[in-house]
Amino acid sequence: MTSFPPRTFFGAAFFALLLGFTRNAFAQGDAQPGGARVGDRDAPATPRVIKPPRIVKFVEAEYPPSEKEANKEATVVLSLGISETGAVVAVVVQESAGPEFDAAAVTAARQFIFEPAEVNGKPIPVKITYRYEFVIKQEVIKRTNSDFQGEVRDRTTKKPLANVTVTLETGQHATTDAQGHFTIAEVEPGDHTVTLSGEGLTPASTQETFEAGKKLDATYDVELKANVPGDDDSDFEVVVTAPRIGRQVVSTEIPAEQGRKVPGTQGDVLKVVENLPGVARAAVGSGALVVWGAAPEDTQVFVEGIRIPRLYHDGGYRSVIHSDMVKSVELVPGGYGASYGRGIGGLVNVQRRPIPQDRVHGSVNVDIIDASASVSAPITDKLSAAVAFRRSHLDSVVKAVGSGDVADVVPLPKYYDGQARLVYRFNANETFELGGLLSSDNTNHTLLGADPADTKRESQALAFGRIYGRYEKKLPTGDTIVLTPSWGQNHSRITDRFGATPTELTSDANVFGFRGTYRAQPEKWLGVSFGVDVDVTSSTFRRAGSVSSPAREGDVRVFGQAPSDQVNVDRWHTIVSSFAPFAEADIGLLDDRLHIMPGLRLEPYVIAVDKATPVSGDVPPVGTSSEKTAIEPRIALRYQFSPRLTAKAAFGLYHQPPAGEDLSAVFGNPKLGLESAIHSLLGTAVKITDTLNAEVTAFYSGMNDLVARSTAPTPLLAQALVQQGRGKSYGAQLMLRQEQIGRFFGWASYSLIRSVRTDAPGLDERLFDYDQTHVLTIVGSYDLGNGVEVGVRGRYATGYPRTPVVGSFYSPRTDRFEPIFGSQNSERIPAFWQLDARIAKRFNLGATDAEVYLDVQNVTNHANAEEIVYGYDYKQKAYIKGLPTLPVLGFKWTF
Amino acid sequence: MDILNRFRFAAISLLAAAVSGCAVEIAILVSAIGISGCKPNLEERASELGAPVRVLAVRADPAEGVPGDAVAFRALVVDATGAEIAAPSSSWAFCTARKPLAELGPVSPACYEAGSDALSLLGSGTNVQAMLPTSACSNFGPEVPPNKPGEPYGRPVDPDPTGGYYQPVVFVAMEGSDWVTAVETARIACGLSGASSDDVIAFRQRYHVNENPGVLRLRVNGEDVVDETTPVVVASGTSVAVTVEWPACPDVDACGDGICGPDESQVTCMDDCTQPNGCMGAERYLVYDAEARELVVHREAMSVSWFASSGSFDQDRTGREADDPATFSDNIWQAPTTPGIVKGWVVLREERGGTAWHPFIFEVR
Repeated sequence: MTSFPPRTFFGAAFFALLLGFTRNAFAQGDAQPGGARVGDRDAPATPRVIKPPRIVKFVEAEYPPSEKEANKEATVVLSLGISETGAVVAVVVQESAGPEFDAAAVTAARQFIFEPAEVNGKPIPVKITYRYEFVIKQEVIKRTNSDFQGEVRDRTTKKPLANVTVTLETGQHATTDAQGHFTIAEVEPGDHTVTLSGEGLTPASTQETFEAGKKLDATYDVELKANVPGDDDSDFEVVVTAPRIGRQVVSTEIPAEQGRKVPGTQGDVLKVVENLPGVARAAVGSGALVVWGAAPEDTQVFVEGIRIPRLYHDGGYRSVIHSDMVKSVELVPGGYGASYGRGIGGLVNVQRRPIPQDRVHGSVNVDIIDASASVSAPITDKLSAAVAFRRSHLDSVVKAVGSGDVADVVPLPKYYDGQARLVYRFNANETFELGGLLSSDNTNHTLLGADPADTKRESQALAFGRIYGRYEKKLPTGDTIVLTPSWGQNHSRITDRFGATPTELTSDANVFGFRGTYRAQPEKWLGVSFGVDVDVTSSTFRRAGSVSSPAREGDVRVFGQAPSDQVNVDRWHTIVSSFAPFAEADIGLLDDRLHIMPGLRLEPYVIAVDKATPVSGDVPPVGTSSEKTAIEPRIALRYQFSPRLTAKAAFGLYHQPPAGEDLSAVFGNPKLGLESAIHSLLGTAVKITDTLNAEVTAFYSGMNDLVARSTAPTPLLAQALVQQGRGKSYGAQLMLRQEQIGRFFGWASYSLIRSVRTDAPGLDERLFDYDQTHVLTIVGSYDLGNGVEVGVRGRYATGYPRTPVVGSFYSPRTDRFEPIFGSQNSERIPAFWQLDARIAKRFNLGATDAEVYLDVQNVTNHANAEEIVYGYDYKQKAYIKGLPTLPVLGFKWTF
Repeated sequence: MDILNRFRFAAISLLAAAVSGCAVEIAILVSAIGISGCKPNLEERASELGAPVRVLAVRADPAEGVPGDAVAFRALVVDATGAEIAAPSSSWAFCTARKPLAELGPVSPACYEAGSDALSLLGSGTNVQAMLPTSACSNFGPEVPPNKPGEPYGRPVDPDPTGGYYQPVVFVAMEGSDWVTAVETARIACGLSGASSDDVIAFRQRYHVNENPGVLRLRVNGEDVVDETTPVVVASGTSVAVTVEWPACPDVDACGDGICGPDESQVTCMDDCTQPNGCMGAERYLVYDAEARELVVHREAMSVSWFASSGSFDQDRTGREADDPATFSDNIWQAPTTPGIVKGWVVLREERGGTAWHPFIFEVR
């Protein structure tokens, strides 16, 4: 059951002019200089030509809500005085229908404008009688939906294309006839994704906005041979109305409309990434993104080509981009093309929603975690803008309803984020956008101990901002130019104190980026793309405390263990820069069934550090710099055995520069170079039905030159970290996805992954700290009608590996027992499973929409183990349990 | 790159579900669902004695020495009743293995691994005397380890927040078939690393080795415990206030007060510093601030560990911050409901590793 657009719920007032008008003027005694008065005995006895007033502006009275709710109809008879200018100058109720009806009728009538009455061609004031009838419309018969029709043509020949299937994400679809025409009736108003597909073609999509009661007529010129690299799914290109689709060989893209309905996301589109194949379940309160067994920092997040430091706020409660700004989110776990680099893990690409051009849109969203608002509007025909902002209030809620010290003891994140966009459209094929992104997190936590040595204070903050420009032009030939310069800052801080042992790490970075891409199609069977990707990051760091704290992946430790009390301090400055030209091609062979997509990325890096060794005595520091060039060939293949069966493969080399915080002469190694990885994958995609797809991918990722702690008992100076680590991740992932069909959509994703590391030659291979063998996620959402939607999510994940404690010894100086460890990462936290549910009710508030949702996490109240803790002497062992049943009630108002 | 992400494994994130009441409290608050906290109930407490053998403290005398100095080590070993035992089969050894950077614990795993060749035996029993190894400051201190030809220099050991370096001393307490391993780290006076020559000279003149603390008095419910062998009578099931005091140390150095402070040296105050005497309370001491690249004066924080063979203390440990001038620490002991003799110990530690202890006996009626 679809909902009606808001306005259809309003009662409408009908009026009727029943008695015409009176012939006598309402101002008989008034002097009307130069005009004859009706009934003037002294006037010449010439025949009078009388023209009655005619209404030229009618204002509909607002139906009194209380009367409408009571289903009352009524008629108000009014006497209207109309001046010789046509304005309504007097309104008198002659027959009342009650104060509310009367007031509504009078208010409306005062705003009427008439063409004045005339006598012998001269305007005169008159008085007329109106009968204003309030009638409740039979809304069910009013057209509230839209019809969608159009034509699909060959872009080059302009000839109509038959048998092209036009599908909306609602599941509604139609196939073009011999004239290329299609019609889809009863489309819900709002933004919809339109997908065009045909025999031998993979789908391409665009976005359309439907208005209630209006018909949308569209013409799509498509090209049957767009072998553009990076557009490997774009077997044809939707010109102008749809941007090219830049899918990778293995990726999962979720449109915003689906993402916001997934339980556990509380309407946050980007949180859906946690539910996609290849992604490990993050520990509660973590939000870490572990993709295909790569470390969280190895997976990069882009907002349409602009790199940002993180996807989620602290605790993983929310993403850093407002959902109203998001069109879709795409996860590429590996094997991506040459246009991206500087990472040996996966990619998350956030696509932004086009700013609607019809009117002002926006929303307000509130739940117990945070509140947000967004507004977008066309400013002129060519200029449009959008802004969004969000701020957390969970800490205030907890302080208000909890005991006074809860907020000090429990680490409650405080965060905000904002986005702003200003888009200028030179024409349909040329735009420039100026935008900004902002995010800030701050979390403080103090656990006081009666003994100062037991007091723990933890504080962390991360803020970043980006300002960017984006120029995009589509040439008449279909070639596309996109230029995206950006600049921004990252500020982060970790300040912990365990007793007298500090852990302090701050960084302030300036990040310059530029991405330019040119896509062309010189031949029918050949598409090319080339460009340049530049990144310069200049950072200043300060760190104090133990080399072993904060802990790194691979550290043997237990949760809550006091850091080593051997401390040091360092301040250093780094510049990590690279200038990467890249080129890709898409070669279509065998009637376009085989696509070969080679690519090459050449990326010279310059890494400079201001201190090569720790400052010692009176000797001034000496800096160091190095230059390394990464040559990264990549290739992807896709072969379409049939319209329903496609095989694919990809291979590529990837490199990643060292993190600036690892380049300290005291805590790291200023001479660290590039980490590298090889991605290879093999998979198949099966289109089981038009809307049901299955995709299976096997992958292997081998990593070399990984940065790890020096295991030497006497490490060399400025070599606390060394680049001797190796790793590999391998496994398979399955995605069974039911696109919107009728009222249902959903997917099941399963990943089977093993990720291991070897920290130094000669050491045993160990499990990666984030290794999760099995991750199963099942998501479904169903529209019950009357604006009610329900959704469920089920998750199962293997527990993270941990190093068992096999004994302990006593440290008299600290009066603490210290653990003695067994084989590294040889036990696991018990497996996790959880069921989440969501129910939402949409309804109309005047001309706007509202939604109330209840997102319930862990509906079965299953006590999942999240971490292992030990007694004071490590003889007792227990588990920290995760969240119990957690209902989150939220409200969203959209206009 | 998200710097916090890199260290997320260790940082606050997991504490969202951690030790103090965790994220469940949030859930309880916002959902009004009454579910017990997610902190696991680990019943065993450090202050409760009951193990057949337990090492409560190890004291080095002097509390800090230079390599080659003779040091006497004494261990406080008790049985399940809280009585100190001689444990003649216990053994002592210096550990010569340096701790890897990645090791979070206080010593190298080679110090407690069976069959380790990094142990140098010292003697047996709960008391032993030994010479601090002459290589202690290069193995465990700021001296740059010798490098191999063609290789860069090695990395000196980082000091603790008090500027201290420590020689590991392994003590295995044995009583019958029961045994416990304790790894003490004896403070060694080694000088500075990375400081300017002026600071190194000034540090040598003004830094004075640590002095062990002393228990000035113990009070129960406000009354001094005069004779530690005579039980203090308490009613069963009652709460008992126990207070330990230590001597006050001067906040400002005064030549002639008998204490050689951090602003004094043999040059400026021969009376106090010819044979430097420390203070048995929270001493002031000199430490090198590597960031500011200057010498600064700190004051020791004090920590008190409480042990009893029965009943329970409110806190296992209490203490005073470095900036807290109070010279006492108190705790509440809940007497058991069953009558009997309860033995206990108060162990006083200061931040630089000095240790003292004091026994008490309660008779619960």
